[in-house]
Formats: sequence, structure tokens, C-alpha cells
Amino acid sequence: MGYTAVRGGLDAIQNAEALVAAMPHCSDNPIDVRQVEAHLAIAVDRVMSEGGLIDPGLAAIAIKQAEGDLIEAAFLIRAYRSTLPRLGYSLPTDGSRMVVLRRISSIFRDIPGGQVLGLTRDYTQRLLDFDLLRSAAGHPPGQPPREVADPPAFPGVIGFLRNEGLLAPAPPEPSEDEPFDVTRMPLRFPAPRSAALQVLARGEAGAMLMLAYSSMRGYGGVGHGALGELRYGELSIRISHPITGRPVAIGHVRATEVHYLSGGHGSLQEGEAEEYYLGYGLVAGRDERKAISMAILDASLRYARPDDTQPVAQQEFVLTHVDSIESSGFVEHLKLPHYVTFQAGLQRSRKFKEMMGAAANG
Amino acid sequence: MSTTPLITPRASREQRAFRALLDAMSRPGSVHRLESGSQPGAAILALFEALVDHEVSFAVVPPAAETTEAILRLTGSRLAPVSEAAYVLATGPGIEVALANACTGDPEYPDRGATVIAVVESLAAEPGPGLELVLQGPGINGCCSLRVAGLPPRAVPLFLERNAEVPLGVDLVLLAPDGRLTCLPRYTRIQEAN
Amino acid sequence: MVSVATLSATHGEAISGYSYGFLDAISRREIRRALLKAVAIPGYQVPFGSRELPIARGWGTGGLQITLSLIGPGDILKVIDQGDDASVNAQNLRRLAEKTSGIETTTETARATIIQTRHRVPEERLRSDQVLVLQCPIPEPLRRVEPSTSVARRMHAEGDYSRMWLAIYEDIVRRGELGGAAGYPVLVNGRYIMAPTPIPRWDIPRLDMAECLFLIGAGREKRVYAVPPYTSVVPLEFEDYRFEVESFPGQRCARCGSGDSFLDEVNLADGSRLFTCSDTAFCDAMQQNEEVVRW
Repeated sequence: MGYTAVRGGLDAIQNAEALVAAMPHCSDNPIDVRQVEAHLAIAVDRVMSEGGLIDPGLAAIAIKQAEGDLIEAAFLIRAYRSTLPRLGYSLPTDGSRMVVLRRISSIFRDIPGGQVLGLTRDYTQRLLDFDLLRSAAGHPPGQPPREVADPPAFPGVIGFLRNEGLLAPAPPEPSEDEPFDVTRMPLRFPAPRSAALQVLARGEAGAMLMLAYSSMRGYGGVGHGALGELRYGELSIRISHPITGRPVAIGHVRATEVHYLSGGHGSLQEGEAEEYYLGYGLVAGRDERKAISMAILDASLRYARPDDTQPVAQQEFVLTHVDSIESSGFVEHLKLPHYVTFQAGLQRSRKFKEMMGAAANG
Repeated sequence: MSTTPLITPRASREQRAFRALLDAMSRPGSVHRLESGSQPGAAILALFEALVDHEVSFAVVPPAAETTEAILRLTGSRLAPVSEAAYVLATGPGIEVALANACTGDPEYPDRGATVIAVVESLAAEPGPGLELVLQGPGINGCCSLRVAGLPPRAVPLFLERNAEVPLGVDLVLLAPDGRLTCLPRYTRIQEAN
Repeated sequence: MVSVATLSATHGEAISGYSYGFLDAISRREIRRALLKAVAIPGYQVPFGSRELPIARGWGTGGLQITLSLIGPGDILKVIDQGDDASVNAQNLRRLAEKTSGIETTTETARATIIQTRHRVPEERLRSDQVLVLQCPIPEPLRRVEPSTSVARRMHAEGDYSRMWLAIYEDIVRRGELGGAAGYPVLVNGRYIMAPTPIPRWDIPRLDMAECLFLIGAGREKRVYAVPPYTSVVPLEFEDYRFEVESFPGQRCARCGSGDSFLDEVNLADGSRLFTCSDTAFCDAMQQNEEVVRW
């Protein structure tokens, strides 16, 4: 009886915690959360979006704490979000009233308000900039933007097609009086559209990109369509005043909004339909890739042909598997001890092997 | 977190009420005690405080303005018709109305079947006043005996009728004004003794 | 810029403070309502609005939400993983419960009022004043034959388990005996097929007509379900192919000598193999010659 069981689990955890806590300080030039917020803004946006909580300061802390693991950072945000009281709900916001910082449409050459390229890497040449090796002094932010007298209006491009009656009608869907809140109620299938959009808005960028890409390449869904409009800018958040009941603006958030069109005859993947299927994407922060992916998935889930068995057309498949906190949690749970279940299985495997051996021998 | 959070008085009441309900639901016919004040209706409010809030609806049958107001104020919940409410508070002949009309859920979601909270005069596991019921089913070792005073005559037959197609059904909580309670979940088989 | 943090602070709930038991009152009430319905409908999976916790999804958030909804100052909590209190994840879950409630904890099975467990049922028989909370990765027993939860839900609604029985039959055809290792499907109260969580077959008979209450939580999949005391729980089997538990022929625990408990295999550096009790508290009690009530 010389075997001593291994103990010390709590010590191990506490040591691991000490190591983890030391990481953000383990150089002589630790990163400041303000630097994360200012210079890793896209990462900050992604963490807010998947965390389901719009607060750049908190997202920056999470990124620093998680050593840049954005899914882990989003998890920190989600867990924190769970502790916050629900203060109320905003009034619906109209995307066409966004204060536009960037706005393009691929389906018309020119549009009212114009094509505003804004801040984008799309047309830059991807050459590593070695000047960044030198830590240059930062430049103070430039002059504050001036108020433009008579800013142009940016009416939604889709409106033109809608007014002409060219958009396909909404498919039959479960009706809803109030938006479904996936953070408070478990999803049931078929899920109402508000639930689907909420899941996608919080969805993991890579998972959604992969599904959207597969659809564009012919694996079901609505496929390769066209970008009706993409805009990035500030959306005003308004609530009903608790006493007067009148709408009052309480702040703004930056968001990317996409209208995607498939079907019709204008896209590269000709559908049988004469009408256009509209997909909608709305993502917190600056994430055009995810907003486009979201719009492709929205359209695919609503308008895929009934006999389309590809994953991208299955609502339960898509909505269940795009949540990063759930997917990473489950995939990584494999690291937990499973030796009892393994032992139970090992017994059977050995028994079966014995059986097969006995059968072979005679 | 540097200091351990303390449990608030309300959270503590709710936790103890919930554990009493959980024990009673797990062991139908076993009698448990809510700690509630001695004022009339205190036991009812103690139960509603623990179970109900703005995420579910309730009904009161027969309608009783004062009780309804008290529940609304305490829980922030909302009224719904008897056939739709998740929690139905029933007294006297209202117990039969509640059992006859409360929602039994649907095949894919039998948990949507309502919980009827029937206020009776007294409850006991040992011999005492009232009707003697012999109970069998999940949670009961063989069978057990329950004495209830204040159940209207059609209550037991209606309970059995509405629960004839389990898992669809209605779950019953019997509550006495002194805070004693027991539960009869839908799978419980009831026979009236003698 | 006004942030949510500032808004919440002025709303009266301190940012650095947490509720007793971490969960807010509304979340707790929802889980409690779901648990009551779960107990009323043995073996049926009740959906609930599972909250995110500081522990990862897939690592016990379902079981933890149940435990945090149950506990009060009078409770004593034991947490085990693979039967071991000292397992890293069990320690972590216990710590979170302790930090957020100050609850008394123990490793002694008989002292606990609530036992949260992953993948084992304790070797010591549980009493009517004890609740066993099981962590569950996949609450849907029909997942093996049907990946879609909505189709599976319909199968449960109709009691149409033919595809499941067929799969079990096919196991017999392939191997001459019932297949399946841990998490063997059971029929509860004669009505619902239930996933007992990945406990070994050794533990399955303990669910049947027990004195204690079993509550099962799947946080990621957002379901809770229950087996009340004195409820029939029967593994799926055929008359001529019966369910059997694991056996450890000729083996005894290298620490306490027990020949009647589920054993873990330990492979040593010299190539030899020995076995020890998976249930460490039971093993400790046996070593100290304490009296242990068995199932």
C-alpha cells in the first residue's frame, strides 16, 4: 500500500492565479489600459461586441488582464455583465439617423449623401510598417471635429428598392410584441428574429465569418449577393424618460450596420427569385467583417430554400454554435479531469478487445 | 471581492420558503412550515415573494382586490387570466375553479403547466380534522397519509382529471394560514380514505 | 463619457459588491421556479435562462447555479469532481461558493446538506435531508440519435423513443452486449428517458428509489432536471440483455483495501498498474475504520 494520492489542488490553483496575475506586469514597460483603448480599438470593439456590454474602458481592462486573448476577455465582460442590474430598455433606434463616419454602397455608383470612404484599410497596401518598431512619441489628437453646417443626409440605400417593391416580403416568423432577450431566456427553436439577431450581434467573429464564407462559396444559404449599404458611425441611444415619458437621449454608441442583398438578378449568384432577399447586420464598434457576415447569415436563415440542409441554413445549428463563450467553454472543458468516464470506457474497450481476441483464436 | 456578502433579510426569507417548497414538492404529502408573520395573508405573501416577480404572471380566484394589490406591490408581477397564469392563488370554491381552468402546459413544454396555490384551513400528516387523503407516486415511499380541512368537494376529482394526461398537468400547493404547506405535484395519485 | 459602471453605481448596487450567492434575486427566482417544475415532472428537462458566471461554460455553471439557488446560512456544502474533493475544478467551484456566501464547506459526505458533483455519485448512501446536485455537459439523452434539440423535444413530447431503442439494439448486434459506458440512458418514472450525466454505470442503480433528491444542471445547454426521492430510474435494457455495472475483478483499493467501490486506475512509471477509490472521502473514512452507510 505504498501509493499516496496526489493532493495539492488548491495550492496549484493559487499558484496558477499568482502567475496569471503577474503577467500584465511582467515587463519593464507594461501596457496601460488607456493604450489598449486608444491603440487596440478594434480588439476593444470585438470584446464589447462578444461580451454584450458596451464599455470600452472595461473591455480594455479585460484585454490587458487576458493577455490579449479576446475570447477570454469577452468572457470576463460577460461574467461582469451578469452582475449588473437591468436599468431599462432603450427605444428602437433608426440606423438611417446614424451620424455617419463611413458609408458605402456597392450596388449603386453614386448615392444621396455620397460614398464616404472614411477610415478603412480596404484600399491600403498591406506592407508591414517597420517604422512602428521605433516607439515614436504619440501625437496629441488633432483639432476637434468642427460642426458642419447643413451636414448631408444619408438616407438608407435600401429604401429605394423597398419603395419600388423589389424587396422580398418577410418570411413567416414567430410574431413578437417585445424583443426576445437571450440573456434572460433560453432559446427555443424556431427562434424569433429578434433572438436570432441578438445572438448574431454577440456572436463569435470567426465562427460567423466561416459560415458566411461557406455560403458565398455555394454551401447553402443565400450565397454571394451584394452589399446594399455599409455604414459606421454613432447611434444615439434614447430611453423613455421615467417621469415625462418623452424620449430622451442618454448617450451614443458606435456601430457598424450592413444591408445585404441576395437573390434577384443583380448578384453573382442568380436565384430563382425576382425579388431581393434582405439580410441585416448590426455590430457594436468597428467590425465590418462581422457585420457583413451577420447580414449574410440573417438572410440565409430567413430565405434559404426549404430543402437547404446545409449548416448555414439551419437556425438551430447557426445560433447554437456561434457563441464564443459557450463554444470555447465546452471545447476547453476537455481539459477537466475525465478519468472516471475514461475508466468506465476503458473497461469496455479492454473487454471488447478480449472478446475479439477470443473469437479470432477459436 | 474583499468581504463576503451578507444575506439580506428578504433573500433569507425567500431561500427558506423555497427550501420548504422544494422539500414539499420532492416529498408530496409531507408537511412543512413557512416562517411568516401572524397577520392574515402573511403565509400567502411569503410564498409569492419567493416565487413570483415581473417575469411571470399570477391570478387570484375568486378575485380579491386587497390580496392582489399586496402581491403586485410586493413582487412587481402582473395579473393574467386563470387559464394563462403561471401561479394561481385560490381560496374556497375558487380552488375548484382554479383546478378546472389552470393551464396544463403543452406536450413539448409541460413545465408551462400552472402551479395552483390553494389556501386551506389546516394541514397535517398525522390524524386530525378534515379529509384524509392517501397519496402515492414519485417522492413517496409506498404511500402516505395527509389530512386536509377546507378543500372543496370537487377539488380532488378535478386534480386527478386535469392530471390524467401527465406529463401535462397542474401542480398543487396546499397552504394553511399558519404557514403549513404541502405539495401535490401532477404525478401524485390521490385516494380519499373511507 | 458616462459609462454603465457609473450609472450602476448611482443606482444603489455597489460595483465591487456582489449579491449573496453571486446570483441576483431575479435569476435565483427563475432557477428556483424551474427546479420546482423539474421535481414535479421527473426526468423532464426544464429550460431556464442560464446566467454567465465567473466559471467557464462547460465547467459546471449549471450545477453551480442550482447550488447557489439552494444555499442558505444553515447549509454545509461538499463539492467533488470525479469523486475527489481535492480535484482542481472542485476546489475552484467550492471557493466561488464560499467567497460569495461564506457557506460552511466539508469533505465529509455525511456532514453535507448539499453535495455538488461532477460525474460521480458518492459511495456513501445519501439521506433524505441531503441534495445531490449533478453537473451535466449534455442533458439531452437523445443527442446520440438526434443532434437537433427541437426534434429531440418532440420525441420526448410524444414519448417516441424508438430510435433510441434501435441504437441500443444495434450495440447488442455489434458487440453481443449492451453498449455505452458512462452516462448510460435511463427511463425515469416510466416516462422520460434521461441523461444521468456521465456517471459510471456503477452509480446508476443509486438513482432508483433513493431517499435523497437529485437535481441536475446543464448551464451551457440551459436545462435543469430532477429525480425526486422514491422515483423509479431504470437503465434501458432488454430482457435477455441486462444492464451491468463495471467490475474490478481481483482488484482492491491500494489505499484502503476496499473491494466494493468504483476504482480509478493509476499507471506507475515501472509499467505496473494499481487502483484506488475514486471517492476520496469514502476512501479516507475506510482507512480510518469509520462506519460508512452504503446504498
